[in-house]
Amino acid sequence: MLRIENLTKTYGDKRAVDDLSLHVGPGEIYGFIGHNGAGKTTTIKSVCGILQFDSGTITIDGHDVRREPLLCKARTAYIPDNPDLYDFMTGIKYLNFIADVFDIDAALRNERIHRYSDMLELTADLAGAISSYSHGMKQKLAIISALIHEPRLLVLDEPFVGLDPKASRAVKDLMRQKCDEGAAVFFSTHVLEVAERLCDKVAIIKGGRLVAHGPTDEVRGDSSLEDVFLELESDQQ
Amino acid sequence: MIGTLYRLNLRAVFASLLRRGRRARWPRFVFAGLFVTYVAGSVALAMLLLFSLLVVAFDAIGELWLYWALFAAISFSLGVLGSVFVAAGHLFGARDNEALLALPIRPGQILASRVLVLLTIECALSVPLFVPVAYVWLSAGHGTPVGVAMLLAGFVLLPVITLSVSLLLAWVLSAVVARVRRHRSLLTVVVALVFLLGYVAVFTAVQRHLGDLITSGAEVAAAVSRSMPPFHAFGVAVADEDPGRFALFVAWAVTPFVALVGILASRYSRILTAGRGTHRVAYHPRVPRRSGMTAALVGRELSQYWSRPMVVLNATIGSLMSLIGAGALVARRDVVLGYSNRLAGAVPGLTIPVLVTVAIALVGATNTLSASLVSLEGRTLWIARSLPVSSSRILRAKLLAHLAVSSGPCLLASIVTAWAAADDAAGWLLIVFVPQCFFLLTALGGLAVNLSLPRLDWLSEVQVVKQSASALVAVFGGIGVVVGFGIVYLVVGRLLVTPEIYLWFCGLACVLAALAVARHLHTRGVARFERLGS
Repeated sequence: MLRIENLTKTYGDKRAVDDLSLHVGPGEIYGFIGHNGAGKTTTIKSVCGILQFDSGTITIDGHDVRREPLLCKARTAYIPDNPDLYDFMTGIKYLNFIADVFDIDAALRNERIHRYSDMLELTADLAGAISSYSHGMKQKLAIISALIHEPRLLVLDEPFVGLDPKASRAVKDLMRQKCDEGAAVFFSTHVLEVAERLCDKVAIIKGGRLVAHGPTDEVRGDSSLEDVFLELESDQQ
Repeated sequence: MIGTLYRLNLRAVFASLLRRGRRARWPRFVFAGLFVTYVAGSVALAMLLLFSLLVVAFDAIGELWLYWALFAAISFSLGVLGSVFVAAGHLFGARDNEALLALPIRPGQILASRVLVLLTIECALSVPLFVPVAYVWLSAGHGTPVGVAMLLAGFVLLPVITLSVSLLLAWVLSAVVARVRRHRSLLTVVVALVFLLGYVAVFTAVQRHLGDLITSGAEVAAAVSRSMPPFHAFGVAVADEDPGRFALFVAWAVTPFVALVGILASRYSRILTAGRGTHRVAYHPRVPRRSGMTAALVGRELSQYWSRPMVVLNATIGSLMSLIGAGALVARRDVVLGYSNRLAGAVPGLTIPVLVTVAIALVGATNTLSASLVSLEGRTLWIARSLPVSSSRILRAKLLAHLAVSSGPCLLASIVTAWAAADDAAGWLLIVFVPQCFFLLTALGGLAVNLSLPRLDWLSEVQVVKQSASALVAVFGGIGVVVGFGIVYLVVGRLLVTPEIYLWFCGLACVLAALAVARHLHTRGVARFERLGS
């Protein structure tokens, strides 16, 4: 579903992502772990076509992100770590705008909007201005907007930040449900317990390079993901 | 702490002017400096001419104090009318207010730093007013060391008086707007237009009553001393070098300012954290209306535009003035046409259709929305970039939004003007079509300029639509094109063709230039948009 080969991205003299390769298959939840500034968000933004990268290839469902960006974006949903949304719109207007862009039929979008907003308990607030939303409500709205077009690949940057426990659980269930339907989920997190429980595969990034990746059980071995992560962090220093 | 915040705020205000682009050979402030020099020079020249007359007249009637009192009154009026909305944006609408409140900084310090920034801006804006007036005064032989010292103190203290009133009005305005639940943008725009018309009225009244000032100086002096005691005190202090009056002026300037800032400081935290009139709107599910992608993208731009009164006021002031002008033409056709006839009659060969075509183009040139639309994406740029929409389509939507709110009202004004002023079909076509050719160029040019000089890290949209390099370049670039066409006509064109035919050539030139800019946007512009943030 998602294939990243030798991705490199530099900011000035700093190499944010260095020759990174990983594959996310259909039906997989892939966790992307690393310390602050390790290159997670840069990788994610490159995958979603938000950042231009220096070298390497990224393909989504067999389509090259550089050559066929619109096809790739049509199959992808992205949720950023800090959901700055259009605060001049109401929640429902924002969702309709996204649905218009993805050309979703009126009845279908209506069904999906209400299904996901009921699940995340945001329906009652959909008529409110986004500017009046809390961080968690904006995060929920961003998640609903990401699911409207039933993406094949979900790319989430710290998706649980700001969510209440109930919504957090609902998002985890949604991630698993989407994978069961054949989609793939690629997400970054600092919450290693969540990654350990939720992910089929994990990758640990440090200084822009992958230092470990593979099925969660293999990466973890007999210890916890937290122990492995901290050990790899200290090994590299 | 106040100093640090002050420097931070001031840097935020001028950030886009001081930053050098990655591949730019010259820092942006070089270009911005040229534009600022042009504007300040124009204002300074007008003040120089006006006060050169006044100093002689007031000297003749023995009321020299009126010279400085009048300067203070003009400076105050223009300053207040021009700064109320800037003050409201900086003090109560800045996006970093809550972040600063979360830091261990006293709210009063945040307020003080912002007020100091406003005072700095106010002083900077009063330079082109003050310098020529002081120059005329000193040239007339009225300067002594004591008088000059008082003048310099007055240069800082007069903006303090202006700022006191601006702060009060900004506070009241913010409080009223915060309590209004619907049509906030409309209310703010209407209030601002009232201020704007007041601004124009003050400026034209000064020009119109120039003769009265000179011939009836004694009556004016009596009126000023009665109704404007701070300015009377300042005028007498400088003219007579009277320390007592100067102390009185200082008291007039400082006391209300300190009191107001003190009251605001004690309530600043409460004002910023109070509910902004938002209330929970009940959601009634219904099957949504489906729009096409272009309609959705244009709708998004227009939603943003209507929700931000500062954008409406600053980026489409030409549209607002066009509509007001069209309304005036319908209501007072004879008066407006009489005034236009007098103007046209003053220049040989100038006809009403030519005059109004140029006037509509000049007014429309102040519409700079397209020069702000890329910057207004700000921190939400990721949305447009992550959607399956081509960059050229996004830019096209921005262009269409600009044309809808800029060219649309100007077209309406053109049609009304053509109905009122054109005698034949040729005049009608000239008035309606030629300005639209020019507006197409300014719309595309604004977008190209904004892609070259984007500002995505703004804290208040005022920084984008009023203080950004792209907005400055767009407005003066547009006016510059009109003035350039005028100069070419005066030098060469008038020897070859009639003004009407020349204007059609100008329209054609605008269309050709617009096609070139459109091509540039389609290639380099799209590439620039895709590189934003990378």
